[in-house]
Amino acid sequence: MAAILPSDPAATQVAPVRTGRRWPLWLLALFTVALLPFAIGSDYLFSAILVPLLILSLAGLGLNVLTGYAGQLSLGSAAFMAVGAFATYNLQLRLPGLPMPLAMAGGGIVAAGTGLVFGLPSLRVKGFYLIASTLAAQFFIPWLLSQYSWFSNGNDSGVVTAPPLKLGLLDLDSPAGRYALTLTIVALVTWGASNLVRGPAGRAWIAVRDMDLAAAAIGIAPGRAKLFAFAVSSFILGVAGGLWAFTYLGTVEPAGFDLDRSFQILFIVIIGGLGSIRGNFLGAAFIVLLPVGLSIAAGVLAGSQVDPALIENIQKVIFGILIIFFLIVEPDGLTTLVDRALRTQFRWIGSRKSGNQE
Amino acid sequence: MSFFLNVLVGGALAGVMYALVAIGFVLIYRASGVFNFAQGTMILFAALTFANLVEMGAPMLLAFLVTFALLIGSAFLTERLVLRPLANRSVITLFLATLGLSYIFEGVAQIAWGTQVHSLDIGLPDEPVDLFGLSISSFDLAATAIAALLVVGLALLTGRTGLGLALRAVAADPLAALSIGIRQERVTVIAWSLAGFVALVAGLLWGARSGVQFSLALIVLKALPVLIIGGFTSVGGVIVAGIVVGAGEKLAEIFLGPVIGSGIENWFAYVLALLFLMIRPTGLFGQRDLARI
Amino acid sequence: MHNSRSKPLLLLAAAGTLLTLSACGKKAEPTQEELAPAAQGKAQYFPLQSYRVGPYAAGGSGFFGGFIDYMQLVNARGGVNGVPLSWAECETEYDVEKGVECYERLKKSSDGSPTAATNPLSVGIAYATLDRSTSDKIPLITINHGRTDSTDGSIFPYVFPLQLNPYSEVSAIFNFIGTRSGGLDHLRGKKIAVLYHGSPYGKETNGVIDRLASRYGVTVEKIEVPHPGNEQQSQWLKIKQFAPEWVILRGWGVMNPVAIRTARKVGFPTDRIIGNIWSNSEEDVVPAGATAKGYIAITTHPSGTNFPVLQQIKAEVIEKGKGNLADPKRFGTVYYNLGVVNGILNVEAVRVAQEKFGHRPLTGEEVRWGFEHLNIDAVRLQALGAVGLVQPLKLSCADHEGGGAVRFQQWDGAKWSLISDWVQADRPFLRPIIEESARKYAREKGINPRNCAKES
Repeated sequence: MAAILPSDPAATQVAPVRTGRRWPLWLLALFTVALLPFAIGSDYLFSAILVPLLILSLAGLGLNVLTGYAGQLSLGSAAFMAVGAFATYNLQLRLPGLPMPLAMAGGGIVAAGTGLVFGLPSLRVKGFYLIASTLAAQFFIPWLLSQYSWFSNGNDSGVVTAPPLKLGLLDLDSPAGRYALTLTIVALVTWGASNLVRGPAGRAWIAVRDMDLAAAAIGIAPGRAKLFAFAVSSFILGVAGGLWAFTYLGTVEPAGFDLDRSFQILFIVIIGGLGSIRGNFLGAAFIVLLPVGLSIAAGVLAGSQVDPALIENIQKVIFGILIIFFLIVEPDGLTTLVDRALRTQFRWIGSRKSGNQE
Repeated sequence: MSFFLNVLVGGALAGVMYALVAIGFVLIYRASGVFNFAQGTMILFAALTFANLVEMGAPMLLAFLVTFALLIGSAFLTERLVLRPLANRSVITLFLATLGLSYIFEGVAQIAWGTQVHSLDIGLPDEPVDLFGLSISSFDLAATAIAALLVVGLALLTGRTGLGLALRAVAADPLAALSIGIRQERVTVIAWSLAGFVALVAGLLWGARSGVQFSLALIVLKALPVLIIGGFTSVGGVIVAGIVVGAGEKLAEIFLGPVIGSGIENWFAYVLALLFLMIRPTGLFGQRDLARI
Repeated sequence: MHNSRSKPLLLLAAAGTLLTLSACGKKAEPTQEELAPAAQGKAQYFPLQSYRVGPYAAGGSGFFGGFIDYMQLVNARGGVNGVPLSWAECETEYDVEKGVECYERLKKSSDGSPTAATNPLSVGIAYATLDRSTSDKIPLITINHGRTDSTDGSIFPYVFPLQLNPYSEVSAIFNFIGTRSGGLDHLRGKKIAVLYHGSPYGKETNGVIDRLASRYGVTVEKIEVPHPGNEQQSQWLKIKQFAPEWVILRGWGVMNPVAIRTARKVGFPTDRIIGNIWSNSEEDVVPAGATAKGYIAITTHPSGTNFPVLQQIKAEVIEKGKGNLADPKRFGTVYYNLGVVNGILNVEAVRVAQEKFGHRPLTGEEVRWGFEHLNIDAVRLQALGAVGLVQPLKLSCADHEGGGAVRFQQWDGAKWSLISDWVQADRPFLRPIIEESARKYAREKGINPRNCAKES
C-alpha cells in the first residue's frame, strides 16, 4: 500500500456516536417539515422528489448498518432491495387479503434471509475482498428473479406492475397517499434501527468494525455480530425495495436494482456519514437533489438552445468533482459537516458538550 | 469433443481480453493502494480519443501517441488533485474517489468527442482460423499475442529497470521508500500513466471488437472478479485468473445453461470469485495480510 | 442521538428546500381543463423525455432530432390549424428513475399549454409511467415497441404501441422467412435461432415465438445475451452447434454490431441474420464494419431522404439553421426518420382531434380521441408527403397499434436497400393472445374494461 503511515484496512472513518436526546423541540420541528408537503400539494414534489428521497434514505440506513456500524463493505445493496420488492409482490399476490404493511415486512424478512446467506462468507473473508460476496449477490439475484418467471407471475418480460395501493379502506393511490405511507414506514423503521444501533447490538457492531480480534478477546462473538448485521441491513433494504416498487415506480423490474443503484446507495452512506442515522437523509437529499437541481439550473440558464447532451455531460463532470471534493473536505460526511457548521456558526443557539458525544 | 474444445479455447482467449483490462488495475493498486474504478472510463476515453483522431485523418501512430500523452496528463492531474489530498484515507474513500473520477472521465470524453458510435479498424482481421482442428478467431489470437507482449514488457520494466525497482519499493513499504529518496508522487504518476497505456491498448482491442461506445466502460465489471481471483497485486495471477474466468464462463453458459437457465455469464464470474475466496481469502497470487491487535 | 439545537435549523433548511422544489414543479397553475376553452396564444405542448447521453444516445439523439425537426416544420407552416407546437426536453439517459422524474417535472407545461402526449422511447420508462399517464389522462405513445397487450385499448385507454407491437414484429419476420422458403407450409422442420437481449424488451416475445413455432412446425432455440452484450462468443457457438437456417436478432445497442461480428467469427453467414426493429439502424451496423454486408433487418419506414416531407424539412428547417441534429450526416438515417414518422403520427392525431373538438390547443383526453381515430390512408399519405415512409394506419378503441406491417431492408456496406414489399403480421392469430394478457392485467389491477362497441 502506498500510504505513508500504515493504515488499517478494516478501520473506517466514522462520525461519533450520539446518544443524548431531547425530545419535544426537534420532534415538533421534524413533524412540521414532514407534514409541510401536504400543504404545498405538488405532484412533482411528492412523486419525483420526496418519495425517492425517503426510500433512498432508508436504503442508505440499511447499508449504513452493515458498512458504517459493522464495517462490512457491501456492494450488493440493490440486490437485497430487489429481493424485498419481488417478495412483497409475491406475498401480496399469493396471499390475497394480506395487508400491504405486512407484505412489506414479509418482503423484508425474506431479504434478511437472503442477506444472511450472502453474509456467510464474511466469517472467513475480511476487508475489501468481501465485496466478492455482495457483488455475487448483486449479479446472481437479478438473474434469478428474471430467469424464473414464477417470480413475476408468469409475465414474459419479467416486469410486473404493482397493484393499486390500498390499506384496508384507505385508498392511497394518489401521490400524497404514497408519500404518507412511505413517510410512516420509513419513520418506523428508522426509529427501530436507531434504537438497535444505540443498544448492545450496535456496540457489538462497532467493536467488530474497529478491531474484530480485540472484540473477540472481550467476549463479543464477531461471527454472530456480523451475521446479525447482514440480516438487519438486508431487512431494511428489503423494505426499501418494497417501497421502491409499490409507492414509487409502480413497476418491479430486476434491472432497476443493478450495480449502479448499489453504488448510488454507497454514495449516500459515504456522503451522509458512515455510522450515523441522520446522515442517510442528508446523503440521500444530496444524491437526489443535485442532479435535479443541476438539470433545472441548466434549463433556466441555458434554455433550449444548448445541446442537452452537453449539459448532461457537464453535470456528470460536476457530480464527479463534487464527490471528490466532498471526500477531501469532509470525510466524515455531511452529517459532521452540518454539525460543525452549526456548532461554530450558530453558537448563539447553545453550546454543545465538547468531545465525543455520549 | 471438438465443440467443447472450441468453447474452452474461445473462452480462454476472451478471458485474456478481460485480463488485459485487469492489468491496469493491478498497476495502480500496487502503486497507490487504490482500486481504480475509473479504469473503465479511462478505456472509453482512450478509445474515443484514438478513434476520433484517426477519423479526423491522423495516422494511427500519431493518434496513439497523442492519446497516450493525454493519459499521462490526466495521471498528473489525478495524482495532484485527487490522490495527494486523500493520502492516508481508507480504502473505501479512495475507491469512491475513483468512482467520482470515472464520472469525470466519462463526462469529459463525451463532451469532447460526442456520444456517437465509432467503428475502429486497427488492421486486425476477425476471421475464423483453423488451428489444430479448432476454429479460432484470428482477432483473438492477435489480442493474446499483444497481451503477452504487454505482460513481458511490464515484467521487464518492473524487474530490470530502476523505475521498476522504485515501483516495487513503493508498493512494498512506502515509508522506507521515502526514506531512501524515492519520490512517491513521481512513482504514482508513472504507475497511473502505465495504467493509462494499458487502458489504451485494451480500449483499442475492445473497440475494434465491439465498436467504440459507452458500453466499453462496463467491461470493468468483468475485470473485477478476475482481480479478486488473481489477487490485486499480481499481473501473472490476473492473466491466469482471466483465462480461468473466461473459459469457465463460456463453458458454464453452454453446458450448464440448458439446465438452470441462460444468462449464467452474468454472475458466474462473481460466484467463481467468491468460491475461490473462500478457499484462498487473498486471491490466487495475492499477498497475505497479517492482522494484529 | 441528535443535538436538539442543531435539529431545528436543519429542519428549517429542509423546509426551505422543499418549498423551492415545489415551486419548480408547480410552474403552471391552471389545470388543463380550465385552460382549454380560453386558450389564446397558447401552444400544443409535447413533453420530451429524451436521451442524448448514455449507452443508447445514438438512438435517442436521432429519434428526437427527427421528431423536433418535424415539429419545427409544422410550426414553420403555421402550426396545426394555426395552433403552434411547443416542447420541452429533459434528459433521461434511458434511466427509468430519471424518466419518471422528467415525466413529473414536464407533464405540465410552464405556460399553461395543454399536454398532448408523451413519447419516452423506452420500454422501462413506459412501464413506470403507464399508471401515471392513465391517471393524468395523457396519452403514452410507444411507437414500434412497448407493452404488447397495450394494443388492447379497452384496457389500456391511454397507451399506444403505434404501428408495430413486439408480437407483430416477430410474426412478420416468420412470414418473411416463410416467403423466402417458398411458403409458410415449407417452414415445417426448419430451425430458427432467436438471439435476444437479456431485458424485459428482449424477453417479451419469447412466449409468442413458441406459439408461432409450434404453429408452423419450426424448431426454435432461444438464446439470451446478457446486457449489454459486449461478448457473445458462447451464444454464437451454441448457434453454430444448433445450425439453424435463420437467426432472428432481437438486439439493442452494442449487442447488434457485436452479434454480427461474432457471427462472422464463428462462420455463420451474415445474410441469414434478420434483425428486428431495434437492430435495424445505421448505428447498429457501422461499428461492425465490413462484416455487416448482407445483414437483413425489418423496418416500418425506410431510411433515405427521397420523401417529400423530408425534403420539406431540409428546405424549411435545416437549411434555415434550425435543425436539431448535432451531426447533419444523420439526416435520413433510420432513427431520424423514425422520429419524423413519430412526429407525423402525433401531429396527425392532434389534427384529427381538432376536427372534433375545435381548432385550439387540446387536452390529453382529447388528443387520445384523436389517436384512436387515426385513419391514415394512401390519400392522406400523399398529402403529408410521406408515401412509402409511413404505412397506412387505422387505429380504433380496441386496436391501438393500427398497422402491424413491416418491410425488409438489407445492408450493402454503405446503406440500407429495401428488399421486400410490406409484409403483414398475422394479427388475427395474435389478437387472442394479446387480449388474454390484457385481461390478466385488468384483473390484477382491478380495471373495468371499456366497452369499445359503445364508444364512437
